[in-house]
Amino acid sequence: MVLRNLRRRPLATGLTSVSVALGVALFAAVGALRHAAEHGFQRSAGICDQVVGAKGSPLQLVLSSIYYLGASPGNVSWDLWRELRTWKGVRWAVPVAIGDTHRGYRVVGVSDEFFSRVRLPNGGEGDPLRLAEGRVFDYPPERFEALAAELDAGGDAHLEDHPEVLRAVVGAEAAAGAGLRVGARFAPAHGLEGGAAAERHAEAEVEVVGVLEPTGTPIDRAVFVPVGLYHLLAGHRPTAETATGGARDPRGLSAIYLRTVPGMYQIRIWRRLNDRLDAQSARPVDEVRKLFRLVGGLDLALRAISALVVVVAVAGVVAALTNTMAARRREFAVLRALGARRRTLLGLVTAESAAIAFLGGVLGLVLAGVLAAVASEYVRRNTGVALSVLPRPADLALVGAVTLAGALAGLLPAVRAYRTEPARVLASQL
Amino acid sequence: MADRTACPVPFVVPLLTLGLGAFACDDGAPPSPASSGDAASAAVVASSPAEADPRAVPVAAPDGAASAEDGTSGAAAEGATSGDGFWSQASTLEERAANVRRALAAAGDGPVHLDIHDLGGWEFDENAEQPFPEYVLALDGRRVVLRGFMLPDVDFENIRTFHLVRSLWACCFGAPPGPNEVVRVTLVEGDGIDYTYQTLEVEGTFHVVFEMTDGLLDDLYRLDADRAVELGFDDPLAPASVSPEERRKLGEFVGTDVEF
Repeated sequence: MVLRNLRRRPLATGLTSVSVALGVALFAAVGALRHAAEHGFQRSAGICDQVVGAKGSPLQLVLSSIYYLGASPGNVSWDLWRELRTWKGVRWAVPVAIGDTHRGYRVVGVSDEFFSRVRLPNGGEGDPLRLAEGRVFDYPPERFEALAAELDAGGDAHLEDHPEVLRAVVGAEAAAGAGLRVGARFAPAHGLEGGAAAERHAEAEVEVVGVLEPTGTPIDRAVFVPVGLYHLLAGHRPTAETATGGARDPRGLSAIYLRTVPGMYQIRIWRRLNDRLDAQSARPVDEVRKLFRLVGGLDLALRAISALVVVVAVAGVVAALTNTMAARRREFAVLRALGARRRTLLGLVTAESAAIAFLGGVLGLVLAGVLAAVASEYVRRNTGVALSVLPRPADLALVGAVTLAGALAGLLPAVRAYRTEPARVLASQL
Repeated sequence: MADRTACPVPFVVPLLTLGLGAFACDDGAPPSPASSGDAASAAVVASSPAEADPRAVPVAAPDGAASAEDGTSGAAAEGATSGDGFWSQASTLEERAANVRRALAAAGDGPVHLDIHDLGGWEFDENAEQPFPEYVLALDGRRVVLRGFMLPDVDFENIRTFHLVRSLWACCFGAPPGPNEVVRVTLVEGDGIDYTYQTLEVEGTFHVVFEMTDGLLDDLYRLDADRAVELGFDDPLAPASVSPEERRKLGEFVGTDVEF
């Protein structure tokens, strides 16, 4: 009977359901996006337990070196990287250089240990990086150490003598976006802005040797080159003016990805690094948490607004039902005359309201899924973080809550139906 | 007749409750409780008058002794779990050792309530065959309750193995924990817990192990925990005049970790 009543007024039912759906969709999408974004960021944060870089904001260091967002706080001496490799409790330390781009994708200098050692957290041992195509370049840390020693000694190292640095392994997204297949050649552009006007390192034509499988992390948007390339490019070589030993000395690294033995070693290494005046160590796990705490207030405001939208939508259901009450007085009177009890009428109208709210809730979740899917494509393109669009248990609870709210709100018009006096209504219409 | 005005109120409530889930607030600056060697806290905190002289209590109380002291050991165990006096303020090694011995004696056959702080302080010699002091060795295989802060590795959620320390990263003035001031906690069942800055209380079987792998020291203290509870923020440095409840309330600005 409830369904038949609803079907009899398809426009009213449809419109009120859609308004509830929009509210629910907004509410669920805001929640899902935030949850998914946080999850994606967390997965990316797990590639190492510490990032070492120049003194400055640890958040900036983590964002620039792991998420490739914003500029690096400066360089940290490569002496520290050499030293770190000998520290007790250090499992691996990958040298990282950032600062150049290719068609808007970051060119990231690393040693080949990056491909063999980095694991993406999966709750267990972690997923290694996999190649979709080609191979990884051969640039062991020893080779970079030798180059650093040569440059330290004032040697005149040239690109021509180090052809091994003219290789690139490209993340999945960057490969698709910049058309970089195995065998493609490109010259990285100086600076982070990219674009046609950017100054190109025309002297360095880099050949793509491999393409990585998608990871759902910023790695997808990076173009990896041997870290030594950075130190061999024109304008990157140390000069009397730049070799100051400070945070802009080209004999340095933008960051060092550091993996340590958890527990005592980890906390002691972290502290020892932060004790230095020329370097800091940031824990991505903590920085990402801080970041989401920072944006938490904004997120709360969004949730509150979307909750209000749901409230308004449910109020709309009540208004629509109340409006029909006058027209349906006859119907209720007949039902009463036929022996329907007052309570039956109360239940009938309440159930109609709840059904509309339920319909709206389910529609809303579907809509939220679509919204999240669209947004996730955008987020993936811009940050490389993959969002999941499947509804979470909390969303199902939301549908339950909205249905309940619809039922409760339906009591208002239901009471009017409840009070229908069949004799008076029917008599007046004779 | 039904009350009309009552209608709009209840349906707002569940929605607001859902909205409040957005308060996924964690602490930006982790609480940093006592660091070792605080000269100001020279006095040994005694949870109850019965414990006034810690050195009088034998190391591992035999059954008979435990039952003979039933009254006092019961009171002491209660004192330790209530939060009051859980955090040790021992500054010398003797005081730390005395705290452990007292906790052992007070526990009888039950769980030993310990502060990680009291497990450290002794010079660790990795060349020694058996580097542990006897009162630490006595804890091996015992059921132990510890409180501290989580030091996760790289995960945020479903963490089953983490390290427990008495103090987090934030304090620039304290010393970093030594090998005997960190406990590796493994949750033996369940899906693990999420990364939290709140005080954790864990309970399980304690192991005291000395092993080296590839020249690196493995965790000396390990706890196979079957219980992990997230407590509020509990500031061990709050003045003694502040009750445990008030002390936790002081920390409530930190918020609780709510799954969003």
